[in-house]
Amino acid sequence: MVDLSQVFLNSLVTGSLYLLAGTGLTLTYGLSRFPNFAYAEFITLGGFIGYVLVEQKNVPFLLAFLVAFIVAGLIGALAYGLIFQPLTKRKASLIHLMVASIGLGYFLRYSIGEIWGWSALSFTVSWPLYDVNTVRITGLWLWLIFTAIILGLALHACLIGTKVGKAIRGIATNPELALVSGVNVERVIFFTWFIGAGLAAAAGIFRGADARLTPMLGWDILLPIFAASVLGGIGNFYGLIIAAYILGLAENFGVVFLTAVGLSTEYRMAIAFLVLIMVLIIKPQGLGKK
Amino acid sequence: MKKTIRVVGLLLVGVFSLSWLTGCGLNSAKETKNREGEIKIGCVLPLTNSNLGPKAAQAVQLAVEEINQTGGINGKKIKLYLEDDRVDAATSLQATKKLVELNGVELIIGGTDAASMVVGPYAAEKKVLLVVPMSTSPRITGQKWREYVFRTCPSDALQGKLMAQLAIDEGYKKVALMVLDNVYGVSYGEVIKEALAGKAEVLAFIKYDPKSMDYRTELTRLKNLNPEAIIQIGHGPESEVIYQQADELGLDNIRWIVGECAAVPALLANPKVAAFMQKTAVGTRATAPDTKMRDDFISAYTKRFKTPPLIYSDKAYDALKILALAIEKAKDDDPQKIKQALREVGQNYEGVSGIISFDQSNDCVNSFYEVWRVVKEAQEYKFERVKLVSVKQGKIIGK
Repeated sequence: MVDLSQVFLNSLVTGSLYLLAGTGLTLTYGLSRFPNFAYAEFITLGGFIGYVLVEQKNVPFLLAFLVAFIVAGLIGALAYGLIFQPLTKRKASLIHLMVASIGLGYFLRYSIGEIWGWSALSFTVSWPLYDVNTVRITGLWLWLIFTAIILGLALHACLIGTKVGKAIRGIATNPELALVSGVNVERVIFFTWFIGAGLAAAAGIFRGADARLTPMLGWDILLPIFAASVLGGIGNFYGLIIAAYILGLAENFGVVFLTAVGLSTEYRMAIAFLVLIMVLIIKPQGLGKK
Repeated sequence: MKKTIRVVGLLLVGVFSLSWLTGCGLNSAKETKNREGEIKIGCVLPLTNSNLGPKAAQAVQLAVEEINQTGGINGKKIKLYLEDDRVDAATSLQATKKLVELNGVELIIGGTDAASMVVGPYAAEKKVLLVVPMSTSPRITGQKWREYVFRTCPSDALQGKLMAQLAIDEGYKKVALMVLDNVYGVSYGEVIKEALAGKAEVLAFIKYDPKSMDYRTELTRLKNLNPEAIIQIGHGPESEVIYQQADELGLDNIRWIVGECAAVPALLANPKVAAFMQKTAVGTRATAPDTKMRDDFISAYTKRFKTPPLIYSDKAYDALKILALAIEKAKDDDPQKIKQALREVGQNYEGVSGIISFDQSNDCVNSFYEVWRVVKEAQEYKFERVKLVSVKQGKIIGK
């Protein structure tokens, strides 16, 4: 009845977005040990920077992508340096850090609203269409999936093979040991916040180009992104890869099920969360951790 | 442990003193119902998340300005309280409560569909008069609380039949419905489905989430069902995303019969969506015959806000004007008396949105609709009227 291969592809698109967006969240959590709610606004910011460059300044998409990555990355690092690092040094608790991040999120969201307005904006870039048997795929979806795969491979290589990658893993597992081993913990955390916010921005551009841009863009998808991070075992990148695609599949096959039985597809998220709850009952530490 | 107790204690003291302070603040800020020399009217409409809402609110504002410039009602000026309901029922109720309980407002213009279902019962409970200009759901008709809720726009029980007729007239035997999952979309869709019964097969009735912005799998399912036409009822913002993704998935080679919220310039500003709509879409929307009064309203609105009005701006303008007329007739601020007066002035009232007559259930019975399509002229996309349809006393009369 339903073309399952197309639904698989749709799941791949949804999952790739969650992976791209979730990576920064889970990496910064691994190091800073608190859920950063302002992460939603890093996503939104990326979308808007991309929009300004592509639509108003006629910058090629790829270049806009890099600029958005760097600008949002710097804002992320700045947010850490100005807000979260001082708070951590003053021994702020998890709650303090969380509330501060919610505050920062509000500030950024309403600033974005003031600058670009609250009406939706749309990318006008046309993407080539490809047909593989019965499956339709657009250039944008290919880019999204490709970026997510490259990200996965690059980050894996970085975590395993490079000094900074080893430092990130070291700090995530045992911050004190990393510190006494001579790792410059602060610098590594700054670097991670930069990369994290940059990846959020990348996800924001994809989401904006795929749907539309509003100051609520990031906030509206923060919940499934958190869900993917938790399902993967928050702080764990490898768990996230599996979790993002599981959620993508659960949501899209959920839609197939819901439309078949005549229920509203608003429950797609409920189905995704049902999967989340079941996995966490069986494996409370998340998919990625042993 | 001691420290924790101290912290918790301090927090509690803080919270209590804060609530005490704000409590005092609220009490002193609470306004009296009747103030000398002014009539309070509230307006709760979507100012965000909507293409139509902000325009309707501006139309209300225009009507208030016009009345105040010519001396007000019975010598009293109108004071307008504008609130944003964000197309969200809970926010709408909150805003209405604020107006009623804090500002002492007893006359309110407002309500989209989901909101009316929640705000309506509250208005009836508080005996506050509500005039709704853009809540079209058939489900609102005949509710117990309608005694206090008048609507200046017609029910989609009428427009739904017209939508179904479009599909039947074009000879489609297999159609699929895709509606926004709220009171507006679902009840509208049900009317269409009922009107199609026996004339065309409804392959699917998909209720979608307006916030999801990822409709690929819903659309994949529709594509696999292979309908001759898709009837889609939604709000403007998410419809734009649906058309974009439908276009990408290759659903651009069948007919799309779409709801009125898609008939807004905002959608044509997106060239991909405009091209898709030009190729596939036909739809209906509420309109009114051209009269001098209507022309004057459109030019006054355009002059005041530097942008033309949209559908339901006229209904919102009329809502305020007809309410003002009722207040004038009642010679009183009492909602009970104004309600009676509203029933009287609301018979063959000539407004900018056509003739308004309330029936027994306070619904507007007459209306005009137009069938529209998108055309491209000199590289510009625009909406073009295919035909005008009049509805009188619940019957569709084609023109």
